[in-house]
Amino acid sequence: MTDLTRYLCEYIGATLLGEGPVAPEEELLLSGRLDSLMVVRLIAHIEERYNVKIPATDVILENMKSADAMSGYLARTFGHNGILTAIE
Amino acid sequence: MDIQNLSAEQLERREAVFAFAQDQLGKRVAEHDADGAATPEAWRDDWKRCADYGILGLYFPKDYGGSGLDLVTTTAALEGLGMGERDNGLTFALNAQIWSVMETILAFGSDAQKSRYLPSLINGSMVAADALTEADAGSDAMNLSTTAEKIGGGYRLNGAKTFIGLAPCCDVALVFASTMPGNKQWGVSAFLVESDDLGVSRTKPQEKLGLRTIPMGGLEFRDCEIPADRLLGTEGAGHSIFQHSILWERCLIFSSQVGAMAQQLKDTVKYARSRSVFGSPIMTHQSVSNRLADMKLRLTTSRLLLYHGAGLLSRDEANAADAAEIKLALSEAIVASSLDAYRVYGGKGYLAGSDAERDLRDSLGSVVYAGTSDIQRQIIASML
Repeated sequence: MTDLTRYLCEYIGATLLGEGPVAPEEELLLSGRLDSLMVVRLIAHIEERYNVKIPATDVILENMKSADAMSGYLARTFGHNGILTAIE
Repeated sequence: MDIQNLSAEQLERREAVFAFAQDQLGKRVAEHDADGAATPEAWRDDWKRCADYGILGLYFPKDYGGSGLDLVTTTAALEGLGMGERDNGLTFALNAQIWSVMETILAFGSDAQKSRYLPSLINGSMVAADALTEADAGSDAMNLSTTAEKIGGGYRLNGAKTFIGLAPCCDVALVFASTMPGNKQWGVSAFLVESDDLGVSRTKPQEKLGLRTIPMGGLEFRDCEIPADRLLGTEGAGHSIFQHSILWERCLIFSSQVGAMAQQLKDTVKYARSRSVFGSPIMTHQSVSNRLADMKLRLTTSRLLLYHGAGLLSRDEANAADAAEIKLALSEAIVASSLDAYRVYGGKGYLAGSDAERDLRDSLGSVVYAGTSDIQRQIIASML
């Protein structure tokens, strides 16, 4: 598990759900674990913490369904020119 | 953004639009309001005047026929429109098209989509509707039953939308439909559907309490086949596109209504000074002056919040809670001030056809459309 994935698991669990870390592969959207506003909060937090701008059209199931998926998306999209280092 | 910080140029533009609106718009508002859905095309003359003046293109790039103004200047111009135009239905519909549909096309449209729709929407030759709401999906906006099945070369839409402003007359609609129904809101996509696409039908206008000068109705899709290039953004991004468009709508939908509040206060003060009871103007009666003071306070706070929202959007800093706060505060202020004005006018305000009576009816929709006040409070609380 990458540091980014671990951080997302902890943030989603502790801050959004008020519990322990979620599992990296746990499905979060279709299960209803995260509602729309939680996703909005999560995106805003990621953008602020990592100084990135996530296009609205990238906020789709494939990229956001689990901590693993989010981590993979962020690495693929922003993991160039040293940004991945900042994220990790 | 502080209203006092508007530049001389921005203030001049607001005054110019105010003068245009006062001189050329709303001459038959009482008649159109009384007729309601019986004259669904009554708004078109004033709409065209606004388009010719450039209202619809204020914010949009010159490449598409717009003026390319910044957001704060655009907001100031739209505030001026509300100051001079007595037809709240028209200003509501103009703002709805600008912020819910045109800005969404600008933000997510392909070059071809922007070139096809924005110039025609700016010059008034096309009119757009934001087709989100369904009979069983009001506050739960993404719980959609309208589907868009992928077929060779495009999509096939089936379903129905209701409570859609300008639907009975629109040329194009921003339609949210499920491309992957099992994926709930994460399976929603956004489309641009034209009213002459085969399988599209527009319902008759629905009669309503306020904003009666513009038609509201439904759109139905029966095996409506549209080409793939009508998809806005990417498949499955409808939910995120909606979050974006509702953010802009909630921040800016009342741009003109804040101007109307200013005019409402001015008119009400004038009346309170001229109307005497027990040998003195009612303005000097504390119960009346308290109401006027409250109206002034609501106007000031509404203006501050409106320009605060425009500033946040300009800097790409607005979030869902900001937008909910602005929408909640302004809509409740508009209703409260319209009720206060009505009380000041007394029996005159109770008469059908009076400005106070129409303003009060027009105001009531504001706490329902673009998310009820209950929903705005829920959003604010959930983001704490």
